[in-house]
This record gives sequence, C-alpha cells and structure tokens, in this order.
Amino acid sequence: MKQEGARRLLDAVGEIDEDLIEETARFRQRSSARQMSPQKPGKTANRRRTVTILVTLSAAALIALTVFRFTGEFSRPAGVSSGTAPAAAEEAPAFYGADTSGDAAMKKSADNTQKPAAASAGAPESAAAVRQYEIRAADDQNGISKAYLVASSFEGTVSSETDGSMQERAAAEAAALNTVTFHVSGLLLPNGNTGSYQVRVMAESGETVQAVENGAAAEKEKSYEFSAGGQKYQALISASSLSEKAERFTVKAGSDALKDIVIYVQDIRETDENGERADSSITYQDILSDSGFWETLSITKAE
Amino acid sequence: MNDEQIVNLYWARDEAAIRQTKDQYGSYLTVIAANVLSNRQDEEECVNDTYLRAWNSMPSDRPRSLAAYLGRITRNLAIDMYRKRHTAKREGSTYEASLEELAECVGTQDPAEARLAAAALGEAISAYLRSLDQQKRQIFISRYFFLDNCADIADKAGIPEGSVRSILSRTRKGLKNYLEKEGFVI
Repeated sequence: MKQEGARRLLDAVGEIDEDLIEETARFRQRSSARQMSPQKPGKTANRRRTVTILVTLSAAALIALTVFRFTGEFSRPAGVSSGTAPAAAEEAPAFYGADTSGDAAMKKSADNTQKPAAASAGAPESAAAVRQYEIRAADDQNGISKAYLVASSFEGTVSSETDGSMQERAAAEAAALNTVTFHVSGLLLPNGNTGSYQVRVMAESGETVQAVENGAAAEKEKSYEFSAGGQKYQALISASSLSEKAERFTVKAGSDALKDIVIYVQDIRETDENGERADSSITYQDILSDSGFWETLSITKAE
Repeated sequence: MNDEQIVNLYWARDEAAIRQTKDQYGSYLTVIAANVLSNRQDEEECVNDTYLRAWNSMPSDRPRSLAAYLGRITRNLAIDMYRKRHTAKREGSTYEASLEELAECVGTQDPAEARLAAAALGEAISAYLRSLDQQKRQIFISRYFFLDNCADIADKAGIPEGSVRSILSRTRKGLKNYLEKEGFVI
C-alpha cells in the first residue's frame, strides 16, 4: 500500500507548477555550466574537470588514448543484451543501456598468434561471466593524464606503448576471441554534459556489426581501421553528444571468431560551457579516483 | 533560438521545431529519461515520444518554459515506460529508490479512501515546496521530479551528498506533515 501511495506521490510531483520545474531546471543548468568553467591553476588537484570526448584521427589533437586490446574467446547467445553494468547499477544512474540492435556476425579471423607481452591483471574468467573493467590513470605527463583500460579480469598482459600519437595500450589475453561488438554507450562526465558515444566495428567486407543508430551520431562519426587477428577492421566511433553519467563499454560476443581487437577511444578534451576547448591541461585524477565513475565498464561474456 | 520562437515554429507546423527542440533540449531530455530508464533504446524512444507529444500538443498549448514543459512530458513518459517494462526488473534506476524514499510520506490508510487526483496533490506539493527555501526546493525537485541521484545533486549544489540526503529526509517528513495538515490522505 505504501508503494502505491509513493507511486501516486511521485506522479503528483510530476504535476507540480511549471515555474518550480523551470527554477530547478535552471539550477541544474547553471550548476553544470559553473562546473564546466575553466579553473584556476593550482587548484586542480581535487577538482572535477569537465571533459568532453571527441574522437579524431588527428594525432596532434590526440590527448589521451584509451586502448584496450584483448584476445580470448567469446560467444554470444541469442538474446544476450548489452548494457549491463551490475557493479554500478545501484549507485550510478542507469543512463546507458546499450543497444542490442544491429548485431551481425563478423568474419572469422584466423590468426591467433598475437600475444600480449607482459604480466597481467587478473585471471581468466569462466564462460558466461561478466567481465568488469576499469580505467586507471597513467602517470601524468605534461598535465595530461592518459587513461587506459585495464582488463582486470583477463590473464594476459598490460603493456604500454607510446607512439607519436601518445598511444597507450592495454592488452590482455584470453584464449580465443570470437566476434565482438563494442558498444560504447555513454561517457561519464562529471559536470553535466550529456550524451553518449559509440564504437562500432566493421568487418573487412564492410559488414557493419553495429548499425548507426541515429543521424546525429552518424554525422559526427569518425572511423579508423585496425587489425584484428590478421584481418583489418574498421571502428566507427561517434561522439554524438556527451553524457553526464556512467560510461559503459559492453562487448557482445558473436558467433564468428575474432582473434583480437584493438579499440581506440581517443582525444579527451576539456571544454568550456560553450563546448570550446578550455585549456590543454586535463587532469583525470579526479575523475578516475571517483569510484563508480569508470567502473561501469563491463564486458558481457556469453555462453 | 528562444523558447517563444521554437513554440512559434510548432504553431506554424514547421518541422524545424523538432530540430530546434532536439538541438536545444535533446541532452537535457535524455538525462531525464535516463534517470528513470536503464536502457538506451528506451531512453531514445522516450525522448522521441516527447518530440511527438510536443508536436501534437502545440498548438493548442503555448508553454512559457519549454524546459519545464518538455521535461514534464519526458519525465512522465519515462515513468510510464518504466512501469510497463520494468515490473520485474527493479535494479539500476533511481526511480525505485525515489519510490521507496517517498513511501515515508505515505500513511497506512486504505488508498481507496484516500485517492486524490494527481493534479490536486501536485498543487499541494507545489504550495509546500514554495514554503521551502530555494535550495531545499531545488534539491527536492531535482530528486523527485528530475529523478537525479543524490551524488549528482550534491555535486551541483556544492554540498556533501550526506547533506543532500538529510535535506531530502527532512523535506519528505515536512511534506508528509504538510499533506496531512491539509487533509490529504495518500
């Protein structure tokens, strides 16, 4: 009965006067804008900074590069839905249920020889497990903290390679990786930006694993190629907008084999309230130290 | 483009109204939908339904504040969708948490005896909220209208999350007392 009453009360709150709604809407907007403003030097240590993730192929524009690379075996049963982030489900608003549409099988990749190099982060999980990932910050360099994904539950390696584009690589090994769809749905930003970006993978044949969902995403889509298990694939990343909440990476495994895959999520920029670049110093420490902030990254491993 | 101009586009049956609404309020509405729903597709559907609802209701409506007008549509559509689709799944949404918290304000009377129109109750809640100072009012509305989580509210208000929870708790109790005093039985 209380539940019913609470439901009616919640409905009634939806009927409050318009000016009250507007007042709070403005409060929320102002707060976001304030938090997005550039902050003075020397006060960045414990502040959250507004970041915007844009995807670009320009190495010059590349500030932070997140790479996760893994090999292993996944298979996705019919009906497995992405968008699960159990670890953060209770604390973080469930902003980003991932899209299950547009799945298509990838071509089987033959090469399984690429192995990670160094020691790693964790042991292999059993089948059907949900793999939780996290992002950890690398050492700050020139005011820029690189972030990279660590496959914490994989046995394998986490190595770092820096090239001219400041590429960080986190690699992990598992047995053999089947078709994988990366769906990056939602980007956690602390200061009120909203939206999402997505990663879609295409087979060499051009077959799209994850369909473009909307025009806005398509318009801002960037793409690049990568090699996976001896085959070339193309990752399409769209930055349609920015999100206020949790970032969720969901990997859905398909039926065909893919030996390994590298996904780059790059160019994390700080912007001012107008969406313009505010400055070049991004500190991820605040973001990354916020538990529950990045931990929504999950990989759903199917049966 | 300001709200009045966008509303004029609706009244002129110009489809640019939808584009402008999407540009200016798309993210805002998505956050509201996402606060309730846990599925990206549902969120998008909800926001798109909001545009459709707005298109169908203007004219005859001429809202003064599109943020409030559209936000209310999205919020209520999202809750409806949640109830339809998540009867068995009650994880991962602030909706459920909000519901549980609001249960404190509810008495144990038979709801059949205490059924009130949501509009009338909304009016009473509005009156109560006006009696609060602005911060408390905004925190309450952020939580129970926009269904923001407490951490976000704390972030935006610049106060600790614990303070937000305390304010919400006191406000709920105050609301309960107010509604009882006004003769409402929920």
